[in-house]
Amino acid sequence: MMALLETTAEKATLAALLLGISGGLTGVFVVSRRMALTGDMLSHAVLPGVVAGLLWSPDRNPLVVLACAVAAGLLGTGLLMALMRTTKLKPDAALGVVLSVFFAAGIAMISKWKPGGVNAYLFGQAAAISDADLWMLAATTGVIALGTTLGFRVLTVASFDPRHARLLGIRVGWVDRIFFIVLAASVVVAMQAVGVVLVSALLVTPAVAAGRVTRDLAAQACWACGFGVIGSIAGVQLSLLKTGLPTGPLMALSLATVLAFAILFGIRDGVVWRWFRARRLKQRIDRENVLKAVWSFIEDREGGVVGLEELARKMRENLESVRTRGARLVAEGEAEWTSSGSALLLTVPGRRRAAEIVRKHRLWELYLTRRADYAPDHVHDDADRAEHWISEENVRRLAEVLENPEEDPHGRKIPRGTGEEGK
Amino acid sequence: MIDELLDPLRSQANLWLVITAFLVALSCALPGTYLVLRRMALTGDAITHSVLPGIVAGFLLGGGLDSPWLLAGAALAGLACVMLIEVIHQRLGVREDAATGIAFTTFFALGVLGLRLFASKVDLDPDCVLFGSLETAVNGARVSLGSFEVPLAFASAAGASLVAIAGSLVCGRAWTTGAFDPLHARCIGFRDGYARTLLLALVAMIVTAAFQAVGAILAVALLILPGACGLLVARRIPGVLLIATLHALLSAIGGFYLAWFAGINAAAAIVLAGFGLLCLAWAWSLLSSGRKVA
Repeated sequence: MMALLETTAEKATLAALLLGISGGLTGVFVVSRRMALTGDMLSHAVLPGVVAGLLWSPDRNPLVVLACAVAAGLLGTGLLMALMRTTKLKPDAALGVVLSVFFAAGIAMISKWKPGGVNAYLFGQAAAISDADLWMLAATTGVIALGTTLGFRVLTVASFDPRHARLLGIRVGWVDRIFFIVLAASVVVAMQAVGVVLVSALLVTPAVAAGRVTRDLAAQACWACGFGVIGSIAGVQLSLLKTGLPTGPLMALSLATVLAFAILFGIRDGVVWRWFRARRLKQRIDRENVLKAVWSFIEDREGGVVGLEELARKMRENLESVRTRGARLVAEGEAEWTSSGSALLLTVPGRRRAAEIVRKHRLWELYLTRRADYAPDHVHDDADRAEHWISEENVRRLAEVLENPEEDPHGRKIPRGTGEEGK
Repeated sequence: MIDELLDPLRSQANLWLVITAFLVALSCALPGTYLVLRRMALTGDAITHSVLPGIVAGFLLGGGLDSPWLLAGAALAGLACVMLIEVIHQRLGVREDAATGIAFTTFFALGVLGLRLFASKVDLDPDCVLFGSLETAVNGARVSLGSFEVPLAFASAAGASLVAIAGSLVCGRAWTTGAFDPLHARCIGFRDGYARTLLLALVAMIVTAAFQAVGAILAVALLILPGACGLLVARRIPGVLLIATLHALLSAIGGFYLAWFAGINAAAAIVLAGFGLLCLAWAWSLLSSGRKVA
């Protein structure tokens, strides 16, 4: 595999691919277990271990570094647990204490012994990743991918409902411990590419982006891998554009961009789709209100032509706004302009829609006065809102319950909703 | 023995180092205590990381480390990060820890990128961003205060401490009440939302002042450790603040000696000394709670 990859650019891209997969897969569980900040704590807490590993093996044997780093991470976790169990410190303070103290220990060791190659871990250097590191990364990613695929059910149950998992006979404590060790390992390998601080971005951002697309955890894991791979490869490619551009920050920013896209266009709950839906709804309500106003003129008038001026007076709007709203009706094929252009004439579908709306409005008014004991002069505002929401089925049943009434509480005729009236 | 201990303090530079370290620690300790009380320790962590783009922007707008532009930019960046966390958390329904992780990594990444892109214009060492360099800061530029000539780092730390003390005196009650009972705070006329924003802005400014001395990540330690230590020992807020102040003083002195005799980075040594003190407080709290049970 390595022989095929001659240039550093190819190696860095492969590293990004592997990091995207491992970060995405672990990240989904990190986020669903509410361990985002625990991941951050781990990335700081492994530093003394990394330094110790680099001092122990000056030729940077990745296995030694990894083992020392994971040991430091577990030590940090132990301190965290001890602080949370035996003191009244809240989890956030305990996390902060462990994070900063372990990091300080790492910095102190660096300033004392100045080990070579530690900068890659502090700031991340995907371009300087060695063959041995790449093998390590591939192995870790393989283990993570295999582990999450085979143990997906166990891990899911243990993450979401530990008690139920225990009832199923799963040793939750061991699942948690193994997950922690794997997380620590993936944090250490990711650190080399993005640096201490930005490991969190690799874990959390793709997983949250995946959550915007689907609720299903398995699908989320796949999406998170995809987002992680896209974001980290984009980051590496961007950093190759000019010498001296840092890989880690560019990866974090690309991942954040991917997340922004997922938030805007996410299938499940994209902000853009939500905005479109709200706009369409608003336009529908607006059209229905105009149709209702037009109906109030044509229901007792020959010909069915309504002038814009009388419509504007009725709707308490200025002439221009009524003209644009009339144009929307025309665009929808619900009305036509008269030849002079100063009056509207409903088309057959327009009549039908108008009659439906007015029917809903008046039926609801009648229902409120008859069944809910509302005074007739208190029902109009409520009906103004309800008319846009009552479904076909509900109209039918309202009419049934009210025994197909002819008149509303104010003595006006209830249209039959077939578009026949007012012609 | 005593002579040996006093010896390093005979040099004027070292004396400045200890005093500046104490003032930096003190300025972080006071608002930090309120952060810990309000369970916002990790928001403090996010702020210390996210002031970086503000600092870089301040440099580019043509200021040195002492310019008001830089302070304003950094405070704004810190607050923007907090707002981003709120938006992601509340509007989009993402859990708060994940939202924090997303927001501060994005801000920090922007900052590091800016630092590298404009390295020629921004006179700030990337190493210094992560772990600071108290020695360089103290031995760097000097300003004259009246007839005295003092290191710039000392002056800014002293200013930050004054701001922190003033802030705690004025808003301390609002912050404490809001921490324990936000509803009650509202009833007696405190606007908790404003109090919270003010606390976060204060933290952002103080962290900026402390940045050069201790760096982004170790500033978190100076924010959290004193308050955590105070909460382990004392039961009332004035006591907690007193212990936090004492913790700042002792960890500055202890850190100095640790750095001097072990030959390590001063900022890291201060944090390690502070952790030693926290362990003492931890032991004390375990022993005293054991006594109560018995």
